[in-house]
Amino acid sequence: MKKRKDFKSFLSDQWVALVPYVMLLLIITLMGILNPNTLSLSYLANKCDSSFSLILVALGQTFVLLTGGFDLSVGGVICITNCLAAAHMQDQPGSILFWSILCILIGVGIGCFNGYVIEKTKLQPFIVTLATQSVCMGAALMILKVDGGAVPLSYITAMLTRFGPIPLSAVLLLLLILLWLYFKQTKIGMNIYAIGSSKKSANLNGIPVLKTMVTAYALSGAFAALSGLFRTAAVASGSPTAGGDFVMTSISAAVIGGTALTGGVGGMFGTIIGAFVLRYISDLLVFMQVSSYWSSLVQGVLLILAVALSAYGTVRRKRKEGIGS
Amino acid sequence: MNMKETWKKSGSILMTFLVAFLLLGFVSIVKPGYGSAANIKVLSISIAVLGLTALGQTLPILTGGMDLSIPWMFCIGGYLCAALTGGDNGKLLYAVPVVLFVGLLMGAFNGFGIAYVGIAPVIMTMASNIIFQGLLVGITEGTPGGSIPSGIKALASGGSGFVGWLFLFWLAVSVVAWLLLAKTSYGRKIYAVGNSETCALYSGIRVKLLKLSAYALCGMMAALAGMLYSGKVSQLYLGMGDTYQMASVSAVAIGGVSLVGGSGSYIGTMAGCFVIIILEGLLAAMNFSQGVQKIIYGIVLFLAVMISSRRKGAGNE
Repeated sequence: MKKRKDFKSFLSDQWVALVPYVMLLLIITLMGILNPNTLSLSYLANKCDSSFSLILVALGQTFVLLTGGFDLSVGGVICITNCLAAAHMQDQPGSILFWSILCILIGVGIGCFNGYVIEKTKLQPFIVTLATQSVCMGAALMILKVDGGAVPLSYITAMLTRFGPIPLSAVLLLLLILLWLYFKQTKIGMNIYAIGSSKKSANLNGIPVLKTMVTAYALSGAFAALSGLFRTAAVASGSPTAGGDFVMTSISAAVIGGTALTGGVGGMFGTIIGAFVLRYISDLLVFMQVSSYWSSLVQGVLLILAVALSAYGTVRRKRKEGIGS
Repeated sequence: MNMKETWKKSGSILMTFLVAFLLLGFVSIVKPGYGSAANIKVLSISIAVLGLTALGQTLPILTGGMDLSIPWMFCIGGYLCAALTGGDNGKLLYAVPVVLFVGLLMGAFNGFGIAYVGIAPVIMTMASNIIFQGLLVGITEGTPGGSIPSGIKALASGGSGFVGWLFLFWLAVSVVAWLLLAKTSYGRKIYAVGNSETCALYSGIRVKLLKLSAYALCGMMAALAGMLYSGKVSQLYLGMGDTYQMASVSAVAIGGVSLVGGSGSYIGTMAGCFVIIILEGLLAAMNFSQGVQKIIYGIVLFLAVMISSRRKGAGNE
């Protein structure tokens, strides 16, 4: 009896958290009706592969959004790692490993710089990461002037491995979810949420703000680097400019998934769902035969609707908890 | 005390202007001919176009938000004017008000979503940017027509000596904007909302309406800037506003306006526009590769924001 009541109050309080899941389910169902092929395992596996770059960068972005910041430099990090991997990686295990690790280290380095500067100078994350993005994109253009480069075949096949019908990206995704469940419980994970809720209180409670901020931005940089590495395999080429598209989509994915731009609210599950929603919407428009002239309009409207729903929910939740006006 | 504070305030803005003119002096010495009247005139016109978008951008940023939808409001402004007039100067009489009104409407759409629905400004304006793009491309099926009237071309590309007419036009609009922000109650309210929405609300300010108006004015300025830009380059192309998305935010930030809202002066934004356009001109004149240009641009953006916000940082400690 009590349990049922809990469930009911859970629904009335937390229905907003379910919105992205319902949205994804609706989209998948609609696509299944329009074209039953989209429910096949091979389609899902392809979708997982093609969404994985976005998922990775959006996950990194989530850490920063949770602290109440922004990371626009992820686009630059993706460009750099994408270009480095496409330009220099040789078809030997040693070379592949070396460049992959170097790329991740570059991502972490850029993230650490962002976090340190933002916390030390108290400048707005938006403008600091905008500046680092410009520098990173410039560096990417110096590595690779035009789209191209040669990606080793063994690297591509390794990244797009299938275990039966299950792609490597799905396995990695599962691993990331497990890691997240652990990370959320760790001290640093809780500190990130605490800083996002109120930096002042966090500071007064003895939370090492600088260290936590640097960690959050470093994680974002690392995930952006991973995303760039995966993208290299997925599109089998390097591009000094393609990363720019990921900046706003990564933020959208997190926000659709229920992460608040004000910090302290949200998490990884929502972001993963949000990324899938974004990637599925563009497919859905193709299946619904929306003219390509109108597709960006529909995408924009859907984005606003999704965010408006979660914004409405946040306002309601705040009212219930007595925060805000 | 008051004198000292005023000096401190305008000091950082003067510094920003100084940086801009040092850059200009540097490139004129290194590249002979760069300081010619014709070239400076072109620079002044570019400053004016960025200045108009940055003027708009200042308002939402002062309220604590941001407008990322400037690029396609800019584009729509340019295309609408060309389509309505078809190159006929006489039709400007009603085309210009229509362009301004449509800009106002697009901005109000942003403001409604942000103030009344409660969507985060960055997300709302980013999404509406995509929507405006879809509207323009969808309605015109990817090939917008029309031609730019000669009156707009003359205003936007003409000039005498070192200054373009558009630059003078921008200065005139700027005086109005500065008076609006610094001397009227509307301006005070904008700052108040940026400082603390709750306080503003309890002081009897209609916060939501005020925010909506800030975005609406921003949309109007973006559409106006787009219309004039099409005259400046004498052509129309999709995506012509793209660079103004981040450039307008950067100009405002370099000018020392806090991105959290509530503090900063429009004069600072003007200084920021000088720095950005002169820097871009310098980078192009020095024949750097695109990669090096972006790296230097990023570093200067960072340093400029550091310099201009030092005052605030010191005040907070």
